[in-house]
Parts: sequence; structure tokens; C-alpha cells
Amino acid sequence: MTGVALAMSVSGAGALGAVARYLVDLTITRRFPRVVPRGTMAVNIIGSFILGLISGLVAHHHLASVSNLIIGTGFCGGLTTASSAAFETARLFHLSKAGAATITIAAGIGTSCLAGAIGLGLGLIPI
Amino acid sequence: MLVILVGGFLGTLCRYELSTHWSQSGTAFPLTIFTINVSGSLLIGIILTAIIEKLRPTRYLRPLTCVGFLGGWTTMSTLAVESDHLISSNHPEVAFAYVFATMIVTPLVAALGISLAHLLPRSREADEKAPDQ
Repeated sequence: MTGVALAMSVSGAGALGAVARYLVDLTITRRFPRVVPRGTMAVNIIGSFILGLISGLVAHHHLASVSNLIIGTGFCGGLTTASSAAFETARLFHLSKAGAATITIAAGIGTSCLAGAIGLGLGLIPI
Repeated sequence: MLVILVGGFLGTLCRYELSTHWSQSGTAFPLTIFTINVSGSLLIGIILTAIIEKLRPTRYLRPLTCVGFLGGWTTMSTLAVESDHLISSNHPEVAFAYVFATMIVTPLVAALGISLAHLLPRSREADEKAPDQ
């Protein structure tokens, strides 16, 4: 794949990831309207798991590394977000909800790392 | 939905181009994604606050800039898997520094962005909509 075609594929996958994030976030926020926003955390967990899995499969099962770029950098990168998590945390601090703010950022990043590790671990299992 | 697609496309393209031209070794502090996430958090603080409080109501600006572009620009999945890789390659101290730095710096710069946006003048339409604020 040429450089331009690859850049377009990655960006297209990122665009789809962004729309998926919007839909998942909307659905979860409507169903669970809580102080600690669940929607951003959910998309970050899902995206980190998928990226971990793809990375593991590329490293140990000869999955084409281009899929890491398109699905990983593109789709998972568009699906997950750090800016929303940062904004939601700052907003909660602003509303003097320091506990909820701390949980939002710490649990948000922590669960993502865990989901990524689980995906990576699954991807490393010999088939 | 279409504007989210456009914003997400552009945000991902910028992140992809930057990480292609500024790649790093796998064991160093992942400064590329850190820079992307910090800058995106600062921008969302400024832009989202300006859209909510300072500008007249618009339908497309927030999905284009915040949901699409900044959502596509920043990423949590790469941060998570980069940290996992750092831990599995015996660099847990770099992974923890990376995660804690992101945890502390991104909300701080988002708060800074919100404060900066509060310094902006309000548009006349926004004043008319909420004269008591």
C-alpha cells in the first residue's frame, strides 16, 4: 500500500472510530447518567482491548502489521479519547467533586491499561 | 454524524502523520502520544468552554471540533498498550511515569483551557440568550 493510501485508510478508520465513540458514549450516558462519566471509560476500555489484541496477534501470529496501523492507530485511536477524560475530570474538579474527578481519571486510565494487557495476553496465546 | 466523520478523519490523519515523522524507540518515554494528549486536552478545555459559554449556539461546531477532531487526535488505547509494552519489556518505571504524568497533566491543562476560555469575550448572541449569567 502506498503512503498516501495508507494514510487515507488509517484516517478513514479513525473517522469510523470517532462515530462509534459518539454512538457508544451517547447510549451509555443515557442509560447510566452517573457523576463519574461511564461512556468515555467504556469506549477507552473497548478500544484498548482491541488494540492490545491486534498488537499481540501482529507480534506473535504473523498478522499483517498494516492491520495494526489501520485497526490500531486508526479505528482504536479514533474510538478512544484522552481529551474527553481530561475535560470531564477538570469539570468535576471545577464542581468541587474532587473524589469523582480522581476516580474518573485514575479508573479511566487504569481500566484501559488493564484491558490493553488482557487483549495483549490473549493475542500472545499460541493457537 | 457526517461532521464527526470529517473531524475524526482529520484528527486521526494529524496524529498518524505526527507519529510517523516523530517516532521513538519502544523503551523511551512515549513523548509523541503524550504531547498529542496534552495538547488535545488543552484545546478541548478552551474550545468546549467557548462553545458552551461564549458563542452563540451552533449545531455543528462541537461535533466537528470536540467529538471528531480532538477525539481523533487524542487516544487512550495507544497509551494503554504502550504502557503494557513498557512493563513487559522491563521498563515499568517508564510506564508508571507515563501513566501518572498523563493522569495529572491532562486534567490540569484542560482546567487551564477552561480558565483561558473564561477570559474570552462573549458573543452578543450568547449574551442575549442568557443575560443573567
